[in-house]
Amino acid sequence: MPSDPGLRLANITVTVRGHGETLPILAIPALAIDAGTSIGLAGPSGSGKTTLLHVIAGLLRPDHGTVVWDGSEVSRLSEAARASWRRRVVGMVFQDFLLVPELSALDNVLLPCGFSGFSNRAQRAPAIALLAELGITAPRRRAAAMSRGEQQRAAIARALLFRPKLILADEPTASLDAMTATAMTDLLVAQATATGATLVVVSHDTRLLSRMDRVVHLDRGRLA
Amino acid sequence: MNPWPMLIADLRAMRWTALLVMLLIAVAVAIGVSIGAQERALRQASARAADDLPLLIGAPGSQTQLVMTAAYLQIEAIPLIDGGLLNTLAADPRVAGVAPIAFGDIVRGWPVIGTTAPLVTAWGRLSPSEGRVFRAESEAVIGADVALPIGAEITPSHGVKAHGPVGTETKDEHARKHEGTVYTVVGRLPRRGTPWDRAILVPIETVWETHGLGNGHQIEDGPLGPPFDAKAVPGVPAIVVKPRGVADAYMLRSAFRQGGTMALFPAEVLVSIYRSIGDLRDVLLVVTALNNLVVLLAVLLVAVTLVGLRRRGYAMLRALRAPRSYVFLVIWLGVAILIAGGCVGGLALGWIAATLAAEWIAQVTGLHAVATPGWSKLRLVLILLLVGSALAVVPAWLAGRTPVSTALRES
Ligand SMILES: Nc1ncnc2c1ncn2[C@@H]1O[C@H](COP(=O)(O)OP(=O)(O)OP(=O)(O)O)[C@@H](O)[C@H]1O
Ligand SMILES: [Mg+2]
Repeated sequence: MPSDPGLRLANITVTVRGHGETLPILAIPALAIDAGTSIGLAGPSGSGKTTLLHVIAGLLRPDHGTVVWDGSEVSRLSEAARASWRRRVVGMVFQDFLLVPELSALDNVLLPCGFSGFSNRAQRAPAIALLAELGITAPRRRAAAMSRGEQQRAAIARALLFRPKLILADEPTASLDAMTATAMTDLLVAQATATGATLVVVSHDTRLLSRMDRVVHLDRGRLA
Repeated sequence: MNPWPMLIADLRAMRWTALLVMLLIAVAVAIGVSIGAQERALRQASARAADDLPLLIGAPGSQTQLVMTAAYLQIEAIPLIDGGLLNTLAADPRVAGVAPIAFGDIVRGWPVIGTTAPLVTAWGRLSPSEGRVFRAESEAVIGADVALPIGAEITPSHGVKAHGPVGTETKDEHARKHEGTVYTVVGRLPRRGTPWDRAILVPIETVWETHGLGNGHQIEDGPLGPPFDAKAVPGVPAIVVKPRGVADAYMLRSAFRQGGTMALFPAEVLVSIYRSIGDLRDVLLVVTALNNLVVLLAVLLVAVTLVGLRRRGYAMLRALRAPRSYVFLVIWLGVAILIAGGCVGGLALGWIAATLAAEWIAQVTGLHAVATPGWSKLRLVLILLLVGSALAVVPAWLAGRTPVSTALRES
């Protein structure tokens, strides 16, 4: 067991350069998320929620500060090492899904098998089962032909398939009706509980947020 | 790593562009492949055609024309030389064999060549695959490609080039028929792969007689061939001489280079023709190489543009934990597949083009140029493939350069 299980963010700043000036878009002195707990990130549009998730996922290297997972500093790793860390630890639902439109829902979910060391063949049945659980009964339809809500659910399935220890979800219920949203929330929480995963969810959905152990608010890049 | 799902998605997304790119490469490769194949095959076939014509004697004029006429039976009206030379040469100790070549008549597109037995059997090298060599003035021996049966009776027409089966002659052909001259086909020669395969070989005596010049002998229907003892032996367009030795060959050539005749080694003339063909080929090869280079650059440009268009997808792959090597593999394989597909298609296309061209050349010249897919062609394609896949590294590398987060925000 690592000495300090969970996620620790310290002194994070992210700036962007534009028109000759540097604009801060994220400034977080400290944020600790214990392993196996869930946290909701809320805040107005443009407040830096997605940016924060990218920083946690190692997709974006902060200008300053550290991201530590289970006692090791992820933010200091090389890009290849961060990709390898993501492979082992992270499952992510992107705000705009990032599905491959030409591939079927199933192939999209199985796509990471191509580089994650999981066998495509072995994951096939679980993937179909997971999609069915998420209400997608025609897993061979092309993603481009699916509704936004279906696409969102396929994206969730892809994030959960390998039972990641850290689930990052960017507005996972934004395109869903209230009932489906509740079902998705149940599923996310249930899997996180079952696998002991840490869950970080960006959302405006108060019902989803109410299911989180804790909710923090972001405003103009700062924790409110 | 399994790049195929993503690769298939990419190809599906850009199927028309991908097809066009492959077609472009295929055409470029086909051009390169078919150019050299012809040249090499022609060179071999034409050398074969001149094999049995060691030394040619004709009236002064164009050397090339004389060779083209005698070796390739490109029948043109060329000036005659004194037929009496046949006797002179037959008696010359430096000469191992001598035969005339006379033409002008045609049966259904097959040239009728008047000569003597030694040339029919290529100085004894060939014997008829069917039947025998002619023994009388009314007999003919046909080349392997002449579609007539043994025993067929034919009447030549003067210089009419109509083709088709016997019995479908045109009016013009009928009008120019040498009525009264009938040959019976008595033998067929084995295939030589030269224009002579299309020739109908008849005794020189009959050709002379058909044109009202007598038969070259004192008596009618005597033995064929030299000596020709008529008071005035009719002229012939060309005489083929087989010298006894190399020294004899050169002496004979210089002897007959003056006094109203021209003597030449067809091989020598061919060498100079080859030289100019060779120069042409060098130019073509450079053009082909440039052509391939331009195509590769175009492909590279297309690949870079497409990868730019799919940038977000590749960023997505990396966001989905794919290592750079995976993205690299997807892109590189994609470009390499396009180039390989184009090369294979080009080889097929080039082979078809070469075959068609060879058929056409055989039709026109009678040269059976069998174009084999030469090793040098495959090497050209392999080089193209190697250079192409090496170039494919560029777009693959470019795709891995933008930070994931930035690339994800661009849409
Ligand atoms: N690469 C970048 N260049 C310029 N500006 C950026 C960049 N990345 C983020 N920003 C800006 O940072 C701010 C935060 O963006 P972010 O996407 O994190 O917001 P968000 O809270 O997820 O908003 P939403 O709820 O609309 O998704 C925005 O104003 C955005 O324009
Ligand atoms: Mg966002």
